[in-house]
Amino acid sequence: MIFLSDFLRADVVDVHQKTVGSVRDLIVRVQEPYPVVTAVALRPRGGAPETIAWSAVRAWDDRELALNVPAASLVAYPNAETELWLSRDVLDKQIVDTDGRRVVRVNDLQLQEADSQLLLVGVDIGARGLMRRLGVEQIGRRFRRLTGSDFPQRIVSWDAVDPVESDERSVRLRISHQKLAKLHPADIAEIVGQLGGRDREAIFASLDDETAADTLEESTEEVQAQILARLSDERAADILEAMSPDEAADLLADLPEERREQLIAKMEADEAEDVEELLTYEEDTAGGLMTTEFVAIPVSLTAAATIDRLRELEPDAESIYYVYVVDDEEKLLGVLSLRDLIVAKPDTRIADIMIKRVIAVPLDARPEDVAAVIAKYNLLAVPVVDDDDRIQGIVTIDDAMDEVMPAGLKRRARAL
Amino acid sequence: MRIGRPTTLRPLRSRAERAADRRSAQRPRRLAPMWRYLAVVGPGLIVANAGNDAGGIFTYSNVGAKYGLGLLWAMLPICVCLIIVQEMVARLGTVTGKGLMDLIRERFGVRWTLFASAVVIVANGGTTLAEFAGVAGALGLLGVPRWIAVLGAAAMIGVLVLRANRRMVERVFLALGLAFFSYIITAFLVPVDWRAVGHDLVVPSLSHGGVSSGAYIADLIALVGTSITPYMQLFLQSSIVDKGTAESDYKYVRADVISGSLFAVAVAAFIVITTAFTLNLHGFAGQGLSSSSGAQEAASALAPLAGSHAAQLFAVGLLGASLLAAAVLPLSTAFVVCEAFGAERSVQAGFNEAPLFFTLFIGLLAVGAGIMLIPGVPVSGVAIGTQVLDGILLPVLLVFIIVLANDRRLLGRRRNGPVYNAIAVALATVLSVLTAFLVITAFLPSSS
Repeated sequence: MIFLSDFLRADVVDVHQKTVGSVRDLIVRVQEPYPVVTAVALRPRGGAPETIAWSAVRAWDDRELALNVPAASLVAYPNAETELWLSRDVLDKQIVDTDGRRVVRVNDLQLQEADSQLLLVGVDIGARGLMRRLGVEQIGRRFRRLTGSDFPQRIVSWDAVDPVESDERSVRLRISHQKLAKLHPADIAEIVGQLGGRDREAIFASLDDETAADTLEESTEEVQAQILARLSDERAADILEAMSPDEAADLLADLPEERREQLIAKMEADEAEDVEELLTYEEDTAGGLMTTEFVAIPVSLTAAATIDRLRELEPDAESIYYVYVVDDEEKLLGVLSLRDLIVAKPDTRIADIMIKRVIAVPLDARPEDVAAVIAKYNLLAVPVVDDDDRIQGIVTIDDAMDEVMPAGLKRRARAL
Repeated sequence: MRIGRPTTLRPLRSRAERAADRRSAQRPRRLAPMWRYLAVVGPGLIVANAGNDAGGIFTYSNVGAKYGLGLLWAMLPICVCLIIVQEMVARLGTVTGKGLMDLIRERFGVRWTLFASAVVIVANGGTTLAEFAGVAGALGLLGVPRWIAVLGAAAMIGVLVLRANRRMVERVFLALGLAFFSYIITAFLVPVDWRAVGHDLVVPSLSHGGVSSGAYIADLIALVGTSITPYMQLFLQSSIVDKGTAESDYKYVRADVISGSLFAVAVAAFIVITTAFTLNLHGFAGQGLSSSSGAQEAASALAPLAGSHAAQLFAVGLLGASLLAAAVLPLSTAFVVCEAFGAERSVQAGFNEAPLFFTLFIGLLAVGAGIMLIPGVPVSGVAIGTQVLDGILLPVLLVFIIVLANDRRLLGRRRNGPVYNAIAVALATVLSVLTAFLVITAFLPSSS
């Protein structure tokens, strides 16, 4: 295997075996799927230019790079400043390994020859790369002979990495967070949690509202507060609208009052009203835990009419587990599972198939009790009712689980 | 039928009615906990305060007891240097958005990172040891046997790290550390000669008060090492990075760092002054704290304020300060080193997934607690000795910081100016010369 570290510090000799300098860096042009080496950066000796096009290289090994032209005819590579310098810009930096879904550091870079081109194909993130850089790979071999176990070679393919760097330079090179944005929001949240504040912001800025909202829901309170503190009011309001109202309310509750009012004012009236209502409930109650996104239908509908309405409204996944049946005063009369609805004959009246004994919890129920009810009756969601039995919202199983799970299981601590 | 807001069904209660309901909702949704307010205290203030830990308390008390006001002059240059160093670190963190070890790795490569990591591990290992000495000393004053104190603290830290809300814990310990304000109060209760204080603060006295020059230099290095701890620099930059402070807010960061430094040095100076007008006058001149019963002696400086409860007051403050640092140090050291090498770093990952992280964390904790478990290891001797180590290792880290803070690519127009470099280089040089001197005197027969 060829590595960047093999090249660094190698002597560069011209066609007459005259030394013109040593290798300082390799320069690549970013392209899909693999960047191609275009030039060598030198520590020049004897008046050689600081960069040489890769086309001038005839042969190389780990000690020497031989050119196919005389020193006198060398010219500087023209695009050096607009392309990526591997040692300067990539080596030793942090990157996101989108396969392993974590933040890792570049210990070395793997290159490969293909069609007389040298391509950047992989990133070495393992202990072997570190030992190669330290010049002690030999010790690794001895260790292997002694113990039988090897230091693992851990190389991530270049097409699975996403840069963390969010400076001017990466922007200019149009290195985006495309690969990262395709991950599951829970994974993005975990990666974001491992980064510094600046990089977090850059990643959130590159996500669309939906993904940003889902990622924020999965993030720790600290990350949430910090991201929200930095976003413009407009963007923050857009993201909050895309979140489920209960999560948005939790987040807003942690903000200073002034900022909270500003953001709510910028949100769409409907969403804002949901959130404001949820904000009136105390955090550690069913009211604080519930979401106001649920499906409630009048008792007079038929199964077919109900399904038609569902198609029309396209409710979110977590709010379609159950369809609640209410009277004119919103009092809870019964409940239907989606299954009940689908297997019923189209013209069946809802009143005939609904389950009349509805398990519900009061607004001030404690979260542990809500979770216990959900567990005991094997529910996916439980309705929350006020003193007059009017449905106010539902607590879904995922939110209830978050309340009773030990924090350590879910949350990865950030030590500093 | 409705989703969320009613579409056709709902308007049984009008909007106004519901708004009225909302207003009448009796309890607010969240009682913002106290620590949320404390969260606005900037990293600069917290870090500078955390610098007044076990090592600091013993070193300052010892200097005041041994030399009276004789080393007070050092506090002003130390203050200037502390501000300069912290400001560089804060600037690096704010502009680059990266931690100190990250920058060392990215700028200097693998070899230098290995070297810097070794320095950080040794320095922070020493400081962790000092914190355990502080725990042993504090609980010793309250009558708790040392082995229970040390093992209890180590176990508690292990549990806290795995379970609790770290930030809240930090703030509780920080609050306990406020007991050291009592030094400032005490300074106004005992007859302090403020004219002498003013004079000795600005006019350096070179008399050793009968102390050998080797010991004098060691005390001076300890004084610098405990005021400008290597670990404070790492911690400060990390917390700024974690907060994601914008470069445009840099002026606030600087104000925070400067006020934090001034505050920390002021507290340190008051400990020296108070002990100078209590302990120094009562038979400690030229001797300093005894190595083994130093906690008891240091505590007696607070007697004018707390009378017979001086030991308890001192113990509470010392315990808070020591536990705070002992909880944060091993964890943050393991974290920054793992981050620099790209190794897995998460408390939740478990040993098999994050072997380096856990080896470092448990290793530092074990070294700190383990050494203090050895019978007869002196509390204040260890607490002060480790500060000498910090002072010796500081210049190494300082060189990295200075080179980074001069990097045009990293900081652009915010890189160091010549005055900065002059002061920072002078500090590194003076410390290195003092260290060399200390090493030489250690091998030569004492001249006193």
